[in-house]
Amino acid sequence: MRNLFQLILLLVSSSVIAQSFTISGRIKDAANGETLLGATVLVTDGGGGVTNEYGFYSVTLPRGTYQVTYKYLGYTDEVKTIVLDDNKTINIELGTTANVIGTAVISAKALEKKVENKKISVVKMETAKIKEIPVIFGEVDILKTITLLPGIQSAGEGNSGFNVRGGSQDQNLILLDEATVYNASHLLGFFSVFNGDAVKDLEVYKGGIPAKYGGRLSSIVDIKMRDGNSKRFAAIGGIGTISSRLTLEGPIVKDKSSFMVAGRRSYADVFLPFAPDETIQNSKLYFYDLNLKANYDLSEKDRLYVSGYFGRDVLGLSELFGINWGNATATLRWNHIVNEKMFVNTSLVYSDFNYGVDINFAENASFGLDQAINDIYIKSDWTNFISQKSKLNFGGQVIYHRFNPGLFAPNNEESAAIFQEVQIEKRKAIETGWYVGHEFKHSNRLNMYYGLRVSSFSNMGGTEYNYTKNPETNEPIAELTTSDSFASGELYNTYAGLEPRASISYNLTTTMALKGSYNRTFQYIQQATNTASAFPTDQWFSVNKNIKPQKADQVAVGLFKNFDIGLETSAEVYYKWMDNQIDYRNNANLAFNDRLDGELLSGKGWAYGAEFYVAKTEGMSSGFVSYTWAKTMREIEGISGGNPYVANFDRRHNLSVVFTQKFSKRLLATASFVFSSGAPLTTPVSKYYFNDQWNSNYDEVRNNYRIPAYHRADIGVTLKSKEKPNKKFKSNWNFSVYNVYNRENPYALYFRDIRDTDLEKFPTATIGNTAGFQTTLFKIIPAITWNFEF
Amino acid sequence: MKNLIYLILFSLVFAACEKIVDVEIPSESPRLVVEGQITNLKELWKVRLTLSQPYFDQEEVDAIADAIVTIKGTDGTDVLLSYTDTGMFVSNDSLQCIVGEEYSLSIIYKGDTYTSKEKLQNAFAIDTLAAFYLPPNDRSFPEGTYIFLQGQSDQANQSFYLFKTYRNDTLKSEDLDDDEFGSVSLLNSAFDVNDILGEIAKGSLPRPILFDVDTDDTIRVEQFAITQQYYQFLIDLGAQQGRSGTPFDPPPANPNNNISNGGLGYFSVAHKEEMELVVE
Repeated sequence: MRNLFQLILLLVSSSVIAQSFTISGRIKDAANGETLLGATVLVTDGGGGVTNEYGFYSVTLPRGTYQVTYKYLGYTDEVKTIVLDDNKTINIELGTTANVIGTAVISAKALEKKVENKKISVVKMETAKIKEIPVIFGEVDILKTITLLPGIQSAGEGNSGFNVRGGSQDQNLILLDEATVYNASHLLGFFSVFNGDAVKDLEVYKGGIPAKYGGRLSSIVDIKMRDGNSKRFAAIGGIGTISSRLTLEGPIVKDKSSFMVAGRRSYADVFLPFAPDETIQNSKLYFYDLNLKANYDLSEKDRLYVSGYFGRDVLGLSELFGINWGNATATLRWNHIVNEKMFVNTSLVYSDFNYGVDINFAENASFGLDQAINDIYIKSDWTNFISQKSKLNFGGQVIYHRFNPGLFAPNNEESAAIFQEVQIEKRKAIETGWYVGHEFKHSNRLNMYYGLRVSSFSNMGGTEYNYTKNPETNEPIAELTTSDSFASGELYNTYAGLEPRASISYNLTTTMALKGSYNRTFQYIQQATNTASAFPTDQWFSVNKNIKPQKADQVAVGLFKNFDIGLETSAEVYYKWMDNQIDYRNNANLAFNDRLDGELLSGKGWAYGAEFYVAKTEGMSSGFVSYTWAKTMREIEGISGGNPYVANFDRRHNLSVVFTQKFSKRLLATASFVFSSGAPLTTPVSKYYFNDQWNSNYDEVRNNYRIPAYHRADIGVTLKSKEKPNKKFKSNWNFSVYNVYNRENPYALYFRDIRDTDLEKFPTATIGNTAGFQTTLFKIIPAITWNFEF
Repeated sequence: MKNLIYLILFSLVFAACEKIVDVEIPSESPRLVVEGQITNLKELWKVRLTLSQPYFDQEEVDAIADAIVTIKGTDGTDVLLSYTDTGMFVSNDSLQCIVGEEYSLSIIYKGDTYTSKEKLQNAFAIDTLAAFYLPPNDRSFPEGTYIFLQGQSDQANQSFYLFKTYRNDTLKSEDLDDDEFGSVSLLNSAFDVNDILGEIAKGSLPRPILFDVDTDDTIRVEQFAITQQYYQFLIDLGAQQGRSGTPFDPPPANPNNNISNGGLGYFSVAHKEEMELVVE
């Protein structure tokens, strides 16, 4: 009884008598003023905090005197003695370690690579690291490089798409400064749309997705652009095999505001006029992209950011035919520090993806085809740093989607006399997401996060909606007999979902932790893709009466262990259940089809796998090994006789090895190797003679076969210019060889009869026989790039 | 610098390379294959029955002789087709289909019954078949002699056509066309095909059915008005046959046909019109 009394007294005294104050502020890079995300703030007697995505931190402590250490990987620690007798704002600038070779290289200290700071199912990659890894044509490509990491599979060579833990490509949400990038491919997927020089940081959530994010089933790829140097004017750039880049950045008002402009353009077409063929001379084939960002400190508490992306691909065959596509995004953000414990960011975002085809056969046969998806949204994210142990996140977003599934229109009056304009019914929709999440540090051993997201989706009236599939029998309705009209602004076919999210981390020792996560996700819009590559022509469409929202539940468990010699290791297993997964009827027609619903079939999917990762990040030799065993299945009525079948992107084994060796301050070499099981394929099981030729009779079992495995090794060497003191200009040469041992990896395997046109290529072949053909996309490819900065 | 440009150019050469490979793929037991077409013209009705065979089996086609083949029509037709040779089953008399009537094929083979039916579509005779020499320097057409067709499609129903064009009795092209975007472009309904030069001068774009013909060539065009299902079957079959190992290939799948019980091939009922021309 006396003990209980003492306990109550203690509790009361600690909550009432002890006064607490908060230290808060921003942490920046001393050299260029870039905010540092995920920098740690350590307080003498344990505890501390981490900066958020805008470099803001907040630590609440009882009155007293503290030694506070500010740390960031590769930067010199900053130690401050703080007498805490009031709330304090302390902004810190950290300098890079003096002995580091170049500014871009980040050398980590084992101490800081704490196992407890790693989140389960989340991978991060620094741009500096990405730039060291050799890629095709030497073109730095963040999306291609992340496919080397466990659980993220490349959708194939010449394709910038990727699959995360058994999810399809359209189940990845790619965000660039919070704006959705609907098509991340340049040149039909040979390159991704992100310019490595403009990107600050990249995080991929394969699981354990915080409640803050939503809208896609499988992953979130959160890409943040650099803010721009707020200290001095600077430029970086490069001349590469495929494209050249230039980034300019500098202060608008020193230490208060900065800008960054990054541009890139390919120049394969520069050589086209030298081609002997006139059609090729008049052809066009190029892409360009532009990243813009500016920020301004309105006050100590308010900061404004504007960022934008604009990219376009243009492909034209003389004057006859042209296709162009691209993304445009714009984000306006307002950071506001409500008080020392409350941080809020409110953003207004615009995102657009569209493509257009122009056909110009004759004066009276000139027409175009256009398709687009366009979003405007507003979102607000709040963080309350309640205490060192507890952090509350909440917020919401409202997205206004507009879809233009296709407009076929004559370009002039003469053509209009012959061709009728056809507009596939445009659609509008409202998508919302509201969330609350709580990060809680129970003890030094146990950390947890739990949250809930509520999402909803409603189609918006003003258009007529035709039922192109009978919801009962699942059969397409050939004649559009049933249709509903909705008044402008009227909401219909509303769906909503509860998305619980949770993760937990338990430190077994100081270097070993056991972690687990669960998340449910809903997806309301998807892309009609029937080919291996993601084409710009693949249209986005929303849920409706026939198409139900996709739903996934995922659990993951992982063991993380760091070794003193600088090794980080992890092993994770996951299982994912997916509902309302979409696949297409055989011979489905997805292009410019106003009865798209009728071509869709839906069913369930499941995926499971194990991922292993070993990395050495320090020292003259560094690198990582990543291995994933994965299985992805689908079961959809109407496909493969209603039996389970392996998904198109199922790859059982995936291995990647990356090794970097520094030879001196100037010379660095990287070698990499990738292996993945062959992609599934449906083969003929017999042939039949019809219409005077042999035809394939394909197996009813979908994906009954696998093409040979894919493997490849690349090497890259970077030679830096001599460093001279007081000289800002630096440059480096990068030489790389893609597919060093010239492996003829199968791009496609297909079956047909041999025709007389084949004899030129295959003189010994017999016309009329049937054969298997294999195509290869990239054999050995050397590339050279020159980079500079000043 | 010059070397650098060579290096860049070399790197740009990534034309897909293609080779014939030996692979082992799964195999299934043989299936019945049907190939037959009956029309509005008075002809002997023929249906060919064969069996499918393993994909890399380069032997001759396995023909079927022991099947019972009948065709019944909603117009009262009921005929038995008798076996002649190489899988061919033929009617005793010449017969013709009637517009709007439905014809059913029935095959009994090794105890299994396979059926199929189609309705005869309406169509009109071809009005004109004309040959035209187009001089060089025209933007849309390279120099040469072109064949143009003119006709009308049945505006009451959506029409689907297959055109087979023969040059000196050799099949030169097979074209599929429909009136989804207002008119059947190969029929040039809105143009005067006897004055192609005048039409082109006006900025019009008549669509030729054949190019590159010589004087004294005999050109024959066969127009088949077919069902939507057969039209789609031919489109899908063509897409599957046109595989080239690029990302533009369709996913492998059998076209939807009209033979029941897992039979392959197609039984078509078509409205056939033809016209012949000797190029002057």
